[in-house]
Amino acid sequence: MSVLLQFSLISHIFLGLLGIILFYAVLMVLFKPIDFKRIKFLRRVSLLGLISFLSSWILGGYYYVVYYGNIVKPLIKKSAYPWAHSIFMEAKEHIFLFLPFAALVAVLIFYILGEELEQKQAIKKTVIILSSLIVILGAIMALTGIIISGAARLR
Amino acid sequence: MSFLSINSIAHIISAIIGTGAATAEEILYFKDIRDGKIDEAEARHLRITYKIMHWSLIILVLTGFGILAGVRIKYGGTKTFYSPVLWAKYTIVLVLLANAVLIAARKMPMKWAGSLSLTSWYAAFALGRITEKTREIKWLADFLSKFNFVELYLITMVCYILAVAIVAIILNYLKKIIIKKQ
Repeated sequence: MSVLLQFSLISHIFLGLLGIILFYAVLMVLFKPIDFKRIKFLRRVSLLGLISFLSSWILGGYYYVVYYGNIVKPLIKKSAYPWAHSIFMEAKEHIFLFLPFAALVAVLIFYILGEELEQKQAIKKTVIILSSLIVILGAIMALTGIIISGAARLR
Repeated sequence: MSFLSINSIAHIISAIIGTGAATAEEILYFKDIRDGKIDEAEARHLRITYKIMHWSLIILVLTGFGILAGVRIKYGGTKTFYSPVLWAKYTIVLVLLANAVLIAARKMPMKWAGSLSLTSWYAAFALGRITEKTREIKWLADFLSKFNFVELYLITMVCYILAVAIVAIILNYLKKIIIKKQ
């Protein structure tokens, strides 16, 4: 694996995790009353989370197209764990798409509504559910990544 | 120092700090609850240990994945990725994170929150050490190899749930004695 590909893989993992951690922080703050200071935090952190997910998507895509598709995928399919690709990677390729768009919705809500979010409790509850979904899906993506990597027995 | 070593060292340090903070949190809580209530100054101390636990958990997650990435790049996928003991550890870390969210949402009964947190930190720490030791101690590796993935995972989780229950009983009993002494 070239240095660029190693960098892509590691960055894909860390940026994805960073996105999850940032939305975890968003979730924790959403349980408190929203004031000016907290809405500033929510806007910045959710935007950083969105950028992390988008960057992870691009780097993961590069790694997949340049290396995983041609080298790793055939190895996994020939190994004792072909389901690691056919079930988990295939699922991951589709489910992950929810993350950046759900993150975008959260960012837009924080920027458009601002402190008004505290008066609109129904929308606030929805954003809490949305952020929880982002964190849960993100965790599932991270864990499926472990399953897929584990099947790539190169030796 | 390699990427793998840096992550391994940071992982161990944050595990020690996080477990220490969880222990300190419980000790401080019992010290503060002696008068039957927690005032603002006492709550401030608890918030500090809580923040240390949170940051330790974040660093643990990042460095844990860093270790896996390092192993993946250096050795390819290995048995480590499918270790039932490690998967039990991931489950426990998820429980810790969920516990924190439920506490913030005020949906977690306090009689369970403390024992879940404390037991989870020690359990994750212990499972990490067991995973390391199976590489060094032959009899341990031989013993664990008698079980398949599902069996070992379930055994670990049952032990964890029992430990949480036992610690909850002990902590609630201690709380009753301490408050009764008023």
